[in-house]
Amino acid sequence: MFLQAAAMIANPFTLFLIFIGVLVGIIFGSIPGLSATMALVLFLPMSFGMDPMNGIALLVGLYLGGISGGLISAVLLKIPGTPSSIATVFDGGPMADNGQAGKALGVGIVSSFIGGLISIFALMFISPYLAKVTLMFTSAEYFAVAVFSLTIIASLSGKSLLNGMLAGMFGITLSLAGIAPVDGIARFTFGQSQLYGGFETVVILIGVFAVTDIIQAGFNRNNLVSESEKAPYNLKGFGISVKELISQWVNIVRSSLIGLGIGILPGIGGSTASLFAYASAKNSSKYPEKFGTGIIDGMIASETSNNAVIGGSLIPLITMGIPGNVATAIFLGGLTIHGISPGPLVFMKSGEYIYGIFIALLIANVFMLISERAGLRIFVKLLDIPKYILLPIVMVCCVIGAYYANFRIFDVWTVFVFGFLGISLKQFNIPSTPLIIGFILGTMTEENLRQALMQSGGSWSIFFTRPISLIFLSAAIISVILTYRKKITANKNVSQNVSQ
Amino acid sequence: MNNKTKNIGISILFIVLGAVLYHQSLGIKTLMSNDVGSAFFPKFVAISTMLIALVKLGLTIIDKNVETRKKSNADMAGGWMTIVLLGLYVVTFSRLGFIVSTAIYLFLQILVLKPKEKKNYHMMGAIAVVMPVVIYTLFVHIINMPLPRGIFGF
Repeated sequence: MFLQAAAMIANPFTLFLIFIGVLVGIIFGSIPGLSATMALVLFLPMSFGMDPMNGIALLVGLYLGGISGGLISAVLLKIPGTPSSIATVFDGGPMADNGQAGKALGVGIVSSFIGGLISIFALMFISPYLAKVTLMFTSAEYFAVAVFSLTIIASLSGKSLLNGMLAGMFGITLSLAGIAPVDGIARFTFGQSQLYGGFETVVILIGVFAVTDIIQAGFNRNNLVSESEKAPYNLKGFGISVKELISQWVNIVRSSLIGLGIGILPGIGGSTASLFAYASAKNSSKYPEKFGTGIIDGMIASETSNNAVIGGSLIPLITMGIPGNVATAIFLGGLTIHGISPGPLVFMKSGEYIYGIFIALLIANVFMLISERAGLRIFVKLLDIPKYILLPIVMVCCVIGAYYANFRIFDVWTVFVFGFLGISLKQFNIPSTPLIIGFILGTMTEENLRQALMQSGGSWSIFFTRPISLIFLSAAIISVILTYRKKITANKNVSQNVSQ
Repeated sequence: MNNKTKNIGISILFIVLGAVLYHQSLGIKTLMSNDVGSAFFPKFVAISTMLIALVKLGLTIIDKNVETRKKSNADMAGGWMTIVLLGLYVVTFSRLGFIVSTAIYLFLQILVLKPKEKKNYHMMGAIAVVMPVVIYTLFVHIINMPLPRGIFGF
């Protein structure tokens, strides 16, 4: 079956479709507001008329390219192209500011490739075993994972833990608007039917990152030109030596496992994976104070993990027919149209196509590496465009992205409001990252809390009697204590240095 | 505004936000007997927000560090003009259509952000006209994703 699959893939037209899929996916992923999901939605109908393997190959290329493309705008514009690239902004942006845009992109590309490769191998060789892990997670476990993930806020709060917590709470508050989970009551909609679906993650991201940035550029317009002085482009290879890469092996493996682990759990997503991996890398680093100033560790953590989600999210899809996120749900539609029914019997019924997916993923990963490296010089050239021209054009693309979320002006307004909110919060030293984390995880936390309590008949002991849930909740408490202690120690050191 | 004033202000703001959230949650009914209800989590978030904000307020008040006020280098005119332009762009996006609203926005925004010594109005005009047309053609006619047409029909 493997050889049959290889024979189906190894023809020029199929390889061409994978390449085009990767290219288009990268373009969609790199433009804030557009995404891998949108690319899949657009090209899904096109794949219907194709031969099954060709249609699937195109979708694979789009998915992988779309996830990888987010790093380009995250580094160059400090705006995440996709939610999965939020954490890439933290160090990628400063690296670009320090004249290391090429290196940041190169490191991101290599990290994406490695993360993708590890997760694809996991998908190929151990997916049935990993799928069993998915079945062990009930609502109680998901709630515990959500709580543990929320503790990332403590690590990414910047100087003030309290400000970070307030931002996180505000983010969770925003996630409450709309139709409530479980019972479907409309909450905090204030009579607006357009709020029934709540706020879109992409719209809030664009508002808080992109619009805030352009407003800030307005307040800082006198320094825009001096900030955009051209740095010479002299990148060799990917900007990272083999020795540097090997020195990051712990970070790479840990981030890949985080991405893979979060990918196999449906409903959590690449954004949580990249934030989680970033926070883990920072907490276990010998120089955590350097994170956010432009170091490769942060780039590697974020990009390795978000690409590792790709293979991870395909594991429950292929082995059980459960899509891990919206993109894989669309992928499932594509597979179904072509007569492939994912599930326990998929290898017996459509084995050659499943092996075809594995091979297509490997080829798409290589194409991503080659095409993004080939385009590096062009990407970095974007920084040569004066910011007073580039930023307004980026703003237009962001508005288009917001409009395309649901094809309504309400989301365009939301982008503007959140941009204004973002700049206002910045004035009061309220960080935006915990706000995003709280928003992303709020609904998941509440939904699984309520479902778990319904399962247990109202008994809270369910969270402490189920081993996996207990482990994650204990880890959450330990994580907060350790982070708090680190902050106290860091503040003491700063006070001592000042007094000396 | 120094940091102490900002911290007091934001703490009060979040206490009020928490109070409003709690008050709004009181009207949410629990529909199922074996469910904590849709009001439970908002109330928890509201109380947590108020507690954190109260702690922050308390710590700010008892903090005796005297901070000198730093002079801001912000260009208020540039910042507020950008905000107004963005607001106008959003208002006119569907009314005037994508092409017209974007052309006006791009021209005015570049005008606001550009250094005073740069006076290449022809280039600015060219960008303002060409970019929306290219983007519109790409998205609407090639990718088949609609954009607002507005009162002019394009």
